Amino acid sequence: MIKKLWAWLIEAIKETLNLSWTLVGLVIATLTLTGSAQQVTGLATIITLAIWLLTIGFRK
Amino acid sequence: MLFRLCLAFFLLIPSPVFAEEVPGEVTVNEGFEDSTYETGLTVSTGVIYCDEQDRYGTTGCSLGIGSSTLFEFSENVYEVGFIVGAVNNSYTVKYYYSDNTDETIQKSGQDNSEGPPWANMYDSFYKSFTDYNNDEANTDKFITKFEVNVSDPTVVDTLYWQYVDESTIPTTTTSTTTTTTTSSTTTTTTTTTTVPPPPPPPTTTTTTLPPVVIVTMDDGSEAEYEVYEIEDGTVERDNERKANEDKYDCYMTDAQIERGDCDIPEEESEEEVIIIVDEEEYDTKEELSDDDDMVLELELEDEVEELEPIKEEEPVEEEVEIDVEILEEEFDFEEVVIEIPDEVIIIIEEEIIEEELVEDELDKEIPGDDIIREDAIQEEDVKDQDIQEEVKEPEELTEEEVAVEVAEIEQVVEVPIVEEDATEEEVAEAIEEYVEELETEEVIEVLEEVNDVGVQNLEEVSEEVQEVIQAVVEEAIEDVEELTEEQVEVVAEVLQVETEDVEIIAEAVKEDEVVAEAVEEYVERAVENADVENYTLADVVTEVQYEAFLENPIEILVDFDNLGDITIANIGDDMTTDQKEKAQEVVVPVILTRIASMAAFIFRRS
Repeated sequence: MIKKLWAWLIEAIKETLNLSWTLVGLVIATLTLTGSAQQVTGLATIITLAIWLLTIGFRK
Repeated sequence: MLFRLCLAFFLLIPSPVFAEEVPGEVTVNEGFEDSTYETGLTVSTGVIYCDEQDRYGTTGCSLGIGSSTLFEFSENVYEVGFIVGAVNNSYTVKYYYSDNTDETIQKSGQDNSEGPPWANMYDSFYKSFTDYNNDEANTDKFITKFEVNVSDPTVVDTLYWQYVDESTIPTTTTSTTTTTTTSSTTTTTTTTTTVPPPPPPPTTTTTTLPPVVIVTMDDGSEAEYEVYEIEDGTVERDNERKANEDKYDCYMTDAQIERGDCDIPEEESEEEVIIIVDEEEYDTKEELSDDDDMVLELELEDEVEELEPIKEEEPVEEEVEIDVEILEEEFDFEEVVIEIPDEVIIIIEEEIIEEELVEDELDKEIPGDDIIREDAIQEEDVKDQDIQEEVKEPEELTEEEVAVEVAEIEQVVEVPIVEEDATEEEVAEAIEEYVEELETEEVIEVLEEVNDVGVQNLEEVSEEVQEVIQAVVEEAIEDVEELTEEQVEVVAEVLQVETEDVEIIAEAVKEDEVVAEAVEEYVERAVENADVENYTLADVVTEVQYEAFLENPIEILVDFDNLGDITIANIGDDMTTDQKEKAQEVVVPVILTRIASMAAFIFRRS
């Protein structure tokens, strides 16, 4: 189980690194926004990233 | 016999009309000396303007307007008079009547070449239905409201109106009517004098009114005039006005046309000069619908000559042709040879700045003046006007102009006196107290001065003055609900945002700490970024957010408050237009870059 989790963690880091430029852009976009738009963008970014990382195995 | 002669003589002489002759007549004068208007008057926009008292024909303070302004009466007003001054562009005055009709007076911009105090830079307006309503055959007609539609900073003053207060009229008055008819015929006019029944609304009074003369105008229409109006040349001037309106689309007298008040395209001069003299016979008939009395100073000078009664003149239509060549032969002009040296030294005196200041005489003095700059208005195409134009880019000022504006700011802004060894906190407290005590008008005055020079040029002013200005900006945002539309425009110009965004910012300040801090530091940061083009509040917000992110990245990204209040329909409603545009500039490239990188990845794999 731990081995499986470790493997997923390594994979998640790799995927996140692949997405690093996109994430930088989204963080910049979030910081450029204010109010409700900022909150929605930030929340959407985090949720999408979480889904993206949780579905690594499924997408492969 | 003697009695009859006396009676005839008495009847021949018209009695003057006095205001007191209308029972219950009330005259209300509104001098616009304070923000409380006289009872019965409602004004849609405008502010009391006291910076330029006794200028533009005003007396004391006046009403400053910059756009269409409606003056509405609650009483049955049958006479109104007022002046409109400091108008650089063409404008209109529209009267609305109780019979659901209206009448529009077109006026061209006023001449500002005379310089301060522009004593003649105004138009007088007068509209009366007193005599008209006196005639029983006419339905009572009243002025319900009038609208002054201007596009540049303007002053309105010396407003008065008349109506009848029926409660003050005795109810047991005996009804008596005196009617007298007198006919006098000159070569050009026929005079019919009628003393009609009492004015409206009282119908049971004894009144003697001056004779009314029906005159046929040059264009064939008929109008009513009083004898003194014929004598003082009003009829001739009205004929001139109508003729000039048809000819040049300018409702002005010949004197005004000659003075250059009307923009007439220059005609090419030819050798033959043709002068057509066309005078028509004056006839007398019916009534005049347009009884405005707009007499300018120049006309007053001419009136002495025009006072002569209308003389008999045969209708003449003749052409006088002058051949320039014949004139040259007759006078035998000498030729003068002027030698031009090889080097010509032209000395240009630096008077341009002064001239510009005179042309824009109301700039920085009337509230809201800077929102609509004179030269901008003259140049801009009406078709191109849209919301974006509300935010004017600051004009580039010369060093001298900046110095002048900075000096003006330091005059307006009074830095509170504190002890030399006072701490920064004490200074800030003193400034805060000083700003809190400022009246709204004073706050706006400071902001107008800031707009004149531009926020980013404030590096020239002292740090204390900058702090006061900063506090004034905060104060204006806090009290935005108390501000008039014009005052909000001034605040919007300071923040470099659109007018409707000021309210959004005011709301955001209450809920969002980042926006509150951005407003707090706006002036300071704008001065620091003087070299950045189009630096606005949105830039300050972004800067503050980045600083906060660097300090505590997780908290900023995971700071989700009031998520329950957010609906899909209102996402982004709490952002200013400027902020949206700046965010768009970032978000769109991010999405495009992501798409491009994915496409490249797929391409490489295949």
